[in-house]
Amino acid sequence: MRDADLTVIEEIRGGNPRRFALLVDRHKERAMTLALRLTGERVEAEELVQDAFLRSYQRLDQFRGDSRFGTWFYRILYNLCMTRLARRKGNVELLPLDDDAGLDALAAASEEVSALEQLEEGEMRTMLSDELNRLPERFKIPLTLFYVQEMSYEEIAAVTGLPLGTVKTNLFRGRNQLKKNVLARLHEEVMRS
Amino acid sequence: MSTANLHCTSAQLQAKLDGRLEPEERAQVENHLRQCPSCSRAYASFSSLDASLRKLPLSGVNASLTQNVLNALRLDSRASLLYRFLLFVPYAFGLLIVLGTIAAAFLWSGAFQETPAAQTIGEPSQAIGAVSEAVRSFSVGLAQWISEYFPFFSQRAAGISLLLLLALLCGAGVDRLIGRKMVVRTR
Repeated sequence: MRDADLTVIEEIRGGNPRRFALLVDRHKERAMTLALRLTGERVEAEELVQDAFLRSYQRLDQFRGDSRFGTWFYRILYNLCMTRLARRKGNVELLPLDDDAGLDALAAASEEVSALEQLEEGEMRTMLSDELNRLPERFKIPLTLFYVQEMSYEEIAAVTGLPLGTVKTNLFRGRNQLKKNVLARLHEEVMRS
Repeated sequence: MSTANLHCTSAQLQAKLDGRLEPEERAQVENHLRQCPSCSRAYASFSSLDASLRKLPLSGVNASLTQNVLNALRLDSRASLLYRFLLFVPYAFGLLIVLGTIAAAFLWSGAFQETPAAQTIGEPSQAIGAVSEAVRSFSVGLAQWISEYFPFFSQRAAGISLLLLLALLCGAGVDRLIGRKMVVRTR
């Protein structure tokens, strides 16, 4: 299917630059969600999102349409966020990585039940959102791009510049870690009450 | 599927969830899930997590974000009055410098000295006098320097041209500064 954004970009190139507002409206919430998850600070996230939109407009000539506009745009935003995070020494990263043995033993852990399903939707959202924010960057980024930006593995690789295999691994491990953390927190809350 | 323990791996379950298994492997995994309650529960757990993640709300955005972007790119003719006013500031600033330069050049040339009007108005205040003197000295110094190195310029033409250029540079600089701040600060 043709990327709807491409039509808008053609209109912009055809002499209607104000149509850029449509692209901003389409992507601003997802962009904000990504920037906020990465930086954890609203004003800073908003500044980065605005900057990313400005840069994408100024570089629109360089967009060749090989990928979706979203992939290209989020790469700009991602790079801006990473540059900003790199300046904040000591705040980036990282929790220790679980070893694979633990992950593959997952099937045996059947007692974990579908506790996730027992939570009310509101509680679940809050808990998931908190736990997602607490994940190390290498897990949080692919998970956010996958679920918020609705990107494929390949698009995530294009945005982050990581090999496809690394993206997959981080996505899988991130999901595992997230599930474990949510279950652990759920367990704590049950014990407390 | 793991051959060691005859259970699906976490990676396989997630790849199935994401629709990323090759047909043959997918058939194997699906077959196994039908027979293995443990893997089936693990898959259901991932599936539940996946569904919840997809439902996570997006972050709210400041309502003026789109407008701010358009303003910064100067794409919107409906920009706010304040913004349109601010767009004038750098150019007003540049114009002020130009007018100041011309006035200084006239003062320097002595065109206004001892005219009836000047005598009627009287002596300017000390502060204005000091500013005029500073501008005049600057103009004279600059013009003398220019005409020394570029003799084809007259002193006055050199002074005025250079200050006009300076006015343009100042205007552009302030313009850029304000434009940039509008992107970041306008709420």
